[in-house]
Amino acid sequence: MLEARGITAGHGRAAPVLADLSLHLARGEILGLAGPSGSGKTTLGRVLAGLHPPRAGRVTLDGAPLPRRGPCPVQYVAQHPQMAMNPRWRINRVLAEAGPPDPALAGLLQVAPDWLDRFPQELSGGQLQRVALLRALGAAPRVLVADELTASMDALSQARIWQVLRDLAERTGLAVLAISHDAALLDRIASRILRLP
Amino acid sequence: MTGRLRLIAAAGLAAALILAVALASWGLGARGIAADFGARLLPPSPAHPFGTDHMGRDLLARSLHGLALSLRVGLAAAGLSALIAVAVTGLAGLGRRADAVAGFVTDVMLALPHLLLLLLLSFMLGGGTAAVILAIAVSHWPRLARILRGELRQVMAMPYVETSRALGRPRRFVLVHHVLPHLAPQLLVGVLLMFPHAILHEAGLTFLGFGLDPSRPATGVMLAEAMRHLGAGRWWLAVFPGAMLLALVLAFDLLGGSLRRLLSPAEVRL
Repeated sequence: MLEARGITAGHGRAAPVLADLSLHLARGEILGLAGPSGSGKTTLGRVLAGLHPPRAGRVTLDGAPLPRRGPCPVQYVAQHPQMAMNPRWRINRVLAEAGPPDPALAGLLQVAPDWLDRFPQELSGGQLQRVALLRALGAAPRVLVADELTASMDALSQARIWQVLRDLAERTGLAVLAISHDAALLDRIASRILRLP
Repeated sequence: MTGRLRLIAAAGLAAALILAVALASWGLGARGIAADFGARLLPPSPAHPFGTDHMGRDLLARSLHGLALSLRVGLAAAGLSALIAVAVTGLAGLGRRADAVAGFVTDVMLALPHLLLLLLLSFMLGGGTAAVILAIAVSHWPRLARILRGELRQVMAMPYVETSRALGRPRRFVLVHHVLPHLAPQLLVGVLLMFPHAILHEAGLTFLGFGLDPSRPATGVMLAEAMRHLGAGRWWLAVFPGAMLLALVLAFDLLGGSLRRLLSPAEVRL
């Protein structure tokens, strides 16, 4: 389904952080992405979601490049979700940017109704991660790039969120690229793990 | 009193002064406009605190009329200038090529000496109120546009803008809902700080004979007329209208400066 071939990417004129990297993500698969800090995990996630243009290589979904208009079928949930939310908007408006949120999914992700009237800076890191995930899923993506998605959550919440994503992967065929430093977590949730040097 | 309260007090005082000038002229009616040749060139006295001019008109009333006129011209010129600056900034937000065009036009306009441009435009447009407003607006938008474009580029680089685009929102939505509200405080302060500049230019242009109609009670007209009588010791003809203009300009400067500090994230702890 999602295919990246010969990706070379970096920042500015510095040496590339990713060189000639290829990967394949199948429908309904949860692929773990591990590697030390600075190894290019986030850069790869952003390249796959079409947010960072690679210097070389291409990303295709079912053989076609990612569309330039409309909601991107590969959604990226950032490591620091507060930066990905307009600080002047309340959470209900933030969520509505991807369309009306699904109340059942909001319940599963434990996004409480009383958060909706707050501003992003009034929520904790874990709460913001859930809001960012609910928003990304609201765009009905085919692939989700989850960058340290549950890093700010306690073990119980972490397990619950990943259970929801596994169910979604099974039920709807959503493919997930799970980027994490937590090797134990990736061992538990991913069907295979790609390690960056 | 904390720094923040002091700033709010300064802004309130300046706003009150500006409002008082605007209302005073309205309440004066025709006073200071009709000639009284029996009271020509009288020095300041309780009956005429600012003295009278060569046609016997009360200078206090005339100065207030002049400032009110300056306020109207300044408001129109600063407003029109801000509209042009916002339009150019909006163009810059439409894409990389449009941004390059907007940047080029702004840089070209900034490279032209704005006083010369102001004089040329006012002369070409034949003088008068509309010409002064247009000349000030056309020669003054680039500085504001440069500030707004800088802010625009900063906001466009924010991850939430990128996310909005990834969620399928078109560029225009991003511009209207994410970027413009962020630019509003900068725009407000920019317009307020452009106001005194516009007022000074209006008076300068009028003083040089390229501005408002000499029959109108404008500060520039009063100062130009005063030049002929200064050698004869009629100092009040220039000092009072000049000081009033200076006070109004300082009030705007204080209001704009206070607002800029109040809205600046760096001053949040004040």
